[in-house]
Amino acid sequence: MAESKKTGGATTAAPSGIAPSQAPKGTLDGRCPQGPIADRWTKHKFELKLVNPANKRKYEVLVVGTGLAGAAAAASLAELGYNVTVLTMHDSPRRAHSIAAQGGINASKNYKNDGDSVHRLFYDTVKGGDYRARESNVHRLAEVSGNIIDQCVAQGVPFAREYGGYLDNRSFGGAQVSRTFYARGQTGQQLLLGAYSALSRNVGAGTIKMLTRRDVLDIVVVDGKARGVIARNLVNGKLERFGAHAVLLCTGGYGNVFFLSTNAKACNVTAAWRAHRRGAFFANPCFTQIHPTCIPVHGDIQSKLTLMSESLRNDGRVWVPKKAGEARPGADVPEDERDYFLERRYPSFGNLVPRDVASRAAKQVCDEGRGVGSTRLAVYLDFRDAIQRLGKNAIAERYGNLFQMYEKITGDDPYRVPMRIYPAVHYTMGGLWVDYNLMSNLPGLFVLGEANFSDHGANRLGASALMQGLADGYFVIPYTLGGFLAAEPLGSKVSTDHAAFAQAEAETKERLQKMLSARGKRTVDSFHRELGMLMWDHCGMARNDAGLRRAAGRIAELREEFWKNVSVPGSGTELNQSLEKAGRVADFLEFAQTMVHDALYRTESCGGHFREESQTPEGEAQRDDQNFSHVAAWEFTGIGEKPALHREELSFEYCKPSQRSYK
Amino acid sequence: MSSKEQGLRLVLEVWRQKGQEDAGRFETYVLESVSPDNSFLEMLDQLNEKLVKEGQEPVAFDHDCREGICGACGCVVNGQAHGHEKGTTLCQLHMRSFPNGAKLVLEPFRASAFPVLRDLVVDRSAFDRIIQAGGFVSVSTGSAPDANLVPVAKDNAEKAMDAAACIGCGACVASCKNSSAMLFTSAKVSHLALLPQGQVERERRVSAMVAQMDAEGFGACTNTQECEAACPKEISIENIARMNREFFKAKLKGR
Amino acid sequence: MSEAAPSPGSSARIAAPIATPRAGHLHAGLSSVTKKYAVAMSGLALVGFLFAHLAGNLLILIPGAFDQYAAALHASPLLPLAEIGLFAVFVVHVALALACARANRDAKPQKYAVAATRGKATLASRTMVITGSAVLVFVIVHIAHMKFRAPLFGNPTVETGSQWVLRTLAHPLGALVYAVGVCAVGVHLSHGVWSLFQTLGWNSKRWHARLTGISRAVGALLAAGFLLIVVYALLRGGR
Repeated sequence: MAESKKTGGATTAAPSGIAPSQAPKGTLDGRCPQGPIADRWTKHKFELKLVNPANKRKYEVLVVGTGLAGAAAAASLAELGYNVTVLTMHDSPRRAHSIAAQGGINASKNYKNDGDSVHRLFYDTVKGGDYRARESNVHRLAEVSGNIIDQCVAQGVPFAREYGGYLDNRSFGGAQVSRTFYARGQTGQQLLLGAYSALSRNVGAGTIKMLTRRDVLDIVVVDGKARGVIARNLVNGKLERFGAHAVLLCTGGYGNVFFLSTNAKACNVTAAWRAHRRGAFFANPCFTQIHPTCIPVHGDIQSKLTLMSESLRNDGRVWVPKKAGEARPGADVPEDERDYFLERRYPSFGNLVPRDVASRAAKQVCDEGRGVGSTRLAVYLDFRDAIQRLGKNAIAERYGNLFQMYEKITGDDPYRVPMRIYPAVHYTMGGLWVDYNLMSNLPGLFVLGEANFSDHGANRLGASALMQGLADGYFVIPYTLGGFLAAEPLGSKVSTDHAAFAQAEAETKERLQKMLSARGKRTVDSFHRELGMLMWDHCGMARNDAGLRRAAGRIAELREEFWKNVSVPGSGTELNQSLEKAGRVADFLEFAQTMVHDALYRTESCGGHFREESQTPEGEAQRDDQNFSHVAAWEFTGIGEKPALHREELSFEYCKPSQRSYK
Repeated sequence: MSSKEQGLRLVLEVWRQKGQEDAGRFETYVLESVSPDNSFLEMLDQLNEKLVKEGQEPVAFDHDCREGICGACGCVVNGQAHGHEKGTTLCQLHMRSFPNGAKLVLEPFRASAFPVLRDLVVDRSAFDRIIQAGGFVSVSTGSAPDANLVPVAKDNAEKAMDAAACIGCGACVASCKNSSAMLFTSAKVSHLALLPQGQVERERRVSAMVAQMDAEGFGACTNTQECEAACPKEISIENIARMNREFFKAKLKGR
Repeated sequence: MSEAAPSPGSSARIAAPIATPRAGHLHAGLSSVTKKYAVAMSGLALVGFLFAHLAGNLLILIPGAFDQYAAALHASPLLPLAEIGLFAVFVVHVALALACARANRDAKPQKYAVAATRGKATLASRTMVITGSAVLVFVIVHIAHMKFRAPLFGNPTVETGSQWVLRTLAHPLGALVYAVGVCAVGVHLSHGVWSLFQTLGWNSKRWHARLTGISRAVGALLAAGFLLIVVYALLRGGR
């Protein structure tokens, strides 16, 4: 774990003296509409060209991934009449990792009459993202949030209801209003199954061609436009070519670069990274979110971390013993020897401070030696008071399945003893750069959901990931894709016999062969684990210049060793899970360097990116708006080469940047 | 905690099958020092690390979220789908629930509708096709009214949620001596039949889904209730009774 | 290499069963649920018949009553119709149950190396085909012997129906066959009655335990009632 106390006390002023170390190669235009923010999306929708209904079937669209963004986009586009083919690496589209989201989905319905509005959701999201998101995008997200709930309810998503039969809401993860809709602790599952049902309806009707167990390993670019993908059929190993007028990457985030994260095991950066290597810019890769309420690490063979919904923080109180090295079990520590450090430091938000703040505070108390549990890398999340106040049944009704999950994993009963939690990598705000239309700098390549960078800035608020995935899929791409396709001649689709397809396929084949023929001594997982540790230690909750530089060097060495010494048994012409993993780790090893580079470049602290060199006297993140109020989008220049910087300047007309304060 | 330090010793008999055409056979492996804190899949990771280091091919098994919600994982452990623990997926089953020296026989989910692709990996796309046949509300994006327009009785919403909690893992089929998919199919039929949004297509849905279920080659239900007992989400067979009701109402109306 | 996108203009298909390579062979004709429904309905009718049958047979405990009842029954012009109806219900029950059983066997071509249940399945629920087959054999013997007076169990020279019954049941083989037969009926029904309620959709979480109890009680009651006659015959020494 990197040191949290910074280098001396001279951090009172914003460190605006540290000018960005790299000059931009170019500037990027997000192509946001102008005018009053509340009218921009409406105006833009009208200005977007439309595709003639009779022609829509003639436009072929490839959707990669079937999470909330992919499934919603595929269904919505098929309903419009486009000719849609969907690829997923899973055995079924219903497995996508959106399914694991627990807490809820935000929408500015103001059903609770507590002062919520589109503008408030917009404002909270920009502020929560520490002023590193595009105002226009975020406002659009807030505008369509209500439509999402309408759509999901109509699909039969069984949201929680009150006795009158109307929808229930709860406050969630730092919001001062109750705007979160939820389905027990399984909101992501229910929303995904809703999108999956819409997708399935179209598959059954023959309007979507659905192909499972297909791993997209390259993006085919012809004359600067994305025209298709190369996918590996995971059952028989065959490489397949898919051509289209437009490609939608809905492939999720890259949190598994840390090996241990709350992401599903198969989550990977491959499709996004391959698109990046083909010319798409990668924006803000250092913006990763560490979630404060995860079950702590227990051992060396652990394969993943499990998140406990942060809705738990609504009723649970976070504390550590006042005394370092406390040996008594949590339940035996008397009240006056407990430090409810979030409530103490942030009296107005208390246990509900945003994720990045809560995570760092937990790290700080553990660094002070006050952590709990066998590894001392955990803090308590205690329901004792809530159980006394509301009764066990009320708590069971709200969190029953989470308590059960916790008990299954740890063997402890959280009704009796306080839970132990620790932060873990959870979500990645960075991603492929997209404009307001969700199109990357490669025309024809659209990026949706967590895979893009657009809406959460440097930190995502709780219950906003589901909102963004579905907004992109249901309510943004159906309009913006049309705007692109309307200007694309029907004949512009490239045959899969084109040399670019042949070349991409040959390169993919060669890469796979190289991994198979290394016949080295180290397993794929051991490389992944080492990379993950390196990233967690130097590019995790706290980052500093020296550590990042060390990490960059070590990643390069590790990558070199990987290609010489990896052991991938079996062949490429069969179901070979080692080969699947190896390809993903190979791409993480390339990607990690860009991520570290971005973290080095951004010498400010903001949101989930905490540079130890840039903090307030109280140890809070210190932004540097003068130098870093921009998106850093990186252009691929070669493996291990310094990527080229493209800057998109951010302007804040409606949410004036301020030091975030949750006191 | 000595067992924690030394770990468990396990004898694993694992079904190995190269591909769909291969006949398959059991192979025996001995695994030492398995941490009781590990999940079952982490134990399999450990086995695979060992196999790869020894130059052998690892055991293929489907898995993803490892927190019991994606439905990807699952195999039969000593005759029981997802192992012996109630309401638990294989990824949530922890090794602390096995004694030192345990012998574990690992087999893929067996059903003619779930052909084995490799080792413990089976093809469950039949489930997708059942949903594609009718497991949805036909509402195109954009056509939904305000979410609070139609109240839903809390009881019904809760029951619908109980049924909708299905993760589509296939343990019900695996544990049924007839490989029947009635629990899976009825969970979706129930979920939508219990909600006002599902009413319009209610009859068409159940007819189409049952027809697809039969077409996939799943067996009929003989009400042994093993599916409910094996279901990691504890979906109730009450749903099967409800689906039977729904089916005959639909047939009476000629749909 | 495959070109994946479907040809433009492929028209929407209303969800008829989606063809699969292994489609359709198991449940040709009626759907599995329809078959099960018919098995349950016919089963319900047969349970009703069994109660009536037992009530009539128990008259044998009252000297003379049984023969009077038999004479009245045989005098009814409706008897042949009822017999044909009963036979039809029985055939439906057996034929569809066997059709399901066959499909079920094909649906699970490979059994697990380790056989285990999670304790929900009972001996009765797992052996419905076996107990059902036993009942079928028993019924054939029973009809051949009782209705057509095939001399399977000893003395063929008797005058009244009650004598035929009592002497048969006092015969060691006769007693054994009938005892085993009615026990098979009892075991079959101890699961079958609950099962038919479930299949007909007349079950819920609230009723589950009650119906399970009723089912076992029905099985036990019918088996005990019929066994009582066997015991009575043995005690009477066939007279």
